[in-house]
Amino acid sequence: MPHRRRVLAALALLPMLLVAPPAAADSESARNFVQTVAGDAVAIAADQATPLSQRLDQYDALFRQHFALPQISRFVLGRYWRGASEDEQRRFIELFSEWTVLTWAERFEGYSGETVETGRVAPDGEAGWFVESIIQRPDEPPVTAVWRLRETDDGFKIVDMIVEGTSMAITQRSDYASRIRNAGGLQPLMAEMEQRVDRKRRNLLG
Amino acid sequence: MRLRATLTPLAGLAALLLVAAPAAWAGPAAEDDAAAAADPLEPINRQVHAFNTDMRALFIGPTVVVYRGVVPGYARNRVSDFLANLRAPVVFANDLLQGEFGRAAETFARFGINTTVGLFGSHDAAAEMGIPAHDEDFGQTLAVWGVGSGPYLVLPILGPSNLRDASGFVADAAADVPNRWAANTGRDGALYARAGGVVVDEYDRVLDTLTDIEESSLDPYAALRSLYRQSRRAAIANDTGFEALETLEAPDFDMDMNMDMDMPPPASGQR
Repeated sequence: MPHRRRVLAALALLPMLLVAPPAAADSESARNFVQTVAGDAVAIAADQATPLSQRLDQYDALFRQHFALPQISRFVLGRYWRGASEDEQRRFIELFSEWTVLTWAERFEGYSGETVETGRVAPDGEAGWFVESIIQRPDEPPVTAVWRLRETDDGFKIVDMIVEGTSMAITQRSDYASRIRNAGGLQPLMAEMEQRVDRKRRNLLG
Repeated sequence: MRLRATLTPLAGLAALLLVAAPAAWAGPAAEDDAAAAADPLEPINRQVHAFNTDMRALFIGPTVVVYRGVVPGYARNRVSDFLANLRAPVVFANDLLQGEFGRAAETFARFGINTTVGLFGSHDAAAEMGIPAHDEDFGQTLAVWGVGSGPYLVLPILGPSNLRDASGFVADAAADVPNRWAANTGRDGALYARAGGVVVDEYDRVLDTLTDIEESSLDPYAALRSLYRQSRRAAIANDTGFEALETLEAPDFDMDMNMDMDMPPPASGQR
């Protein structure tokens, strides 16, 4: 009964999968991770039969799972993170996460006829990987972006996107620092973020 | 003649500004993010930024939309390649001035190939032969020579710049071979056609990005300023390629941060 033996062997391995720490990942799994996340997002965008409100929930689950949103939030807030109370930090993470999810949902919703491919992969020191993604657009030059990944106990997490030497996280840190200075602090910034999140959601849902 | 007559004193003025620049402007070319806050002309810059935003919404954006509607993508790429090839002599000169002789040879070969095989530059045949394009300008050359960026500037229509790069832009325009030829032979129309073409072509390529930045940032002015500084730093170091990523400074994302913060109650945003 070779078939049965194989099933049994697989079952015997199952507990190991559940408890074993993740094996040292290789470049191929980093590439697959980006391909899967991008593919899932494209699939959500293509599923026009499902109402957008439901698909927004799907984007929400996808991006919260795969973006290191708490860590990016903390980086983006920079020196203002330390001055914030734990409640403010939580609220900022939540607002930043919603904003990020909606922004990326809007980008994927805007695609039509684009395909996402992965290109080169390079180690980012010991901490993670750089994975190149290429968006092929009909009649337009391709857009190349590089995803910066970190390896965690919970799998890969996206921490940054780099386009031609510019980091999205660093750009956002400048953006938020400037807004905090001009809006008069973290609280007014978060009030504004809340409004913009609501407005973007309404605009998207039309 | 008129454009050249305007450009020459401008180049002189730029050179004067550079020489007379206070010592504080002549720091090292690299800037860290803390320096991003240093923007002494911010109030004026924000006004020009607002003007540019209006111009984009009212004139340039609609022009690009018409351009895209009338001219197919393939033909627009031919225009891009043609305009890029006209810049080759300036790129070549700046390669040499930076002591980048290998890249200068590439630019020289590209210009020869694209002007002939590439049908007067309308096809980037050299890239297909494995000699990819790269850009250089006198602002980058000055940075390689150790000239600091000077204050951040937002130029009308042209957008983000700084004193050094704006001066470099004027110097490049004054030294530009096709421009000089057109000016010396009284072909002002060609000068203006090229300038207009460059504006439309550039905006054709960056319009969607600019719209995205406007949509996705809280303070688009500050986001653009940061993007400009980062991309110039990469361009000056010739670090825009994938191979250069490993030299990129790693922001500290602190993956060990308390993961209790990981899942704030999702209820507030779901409605």
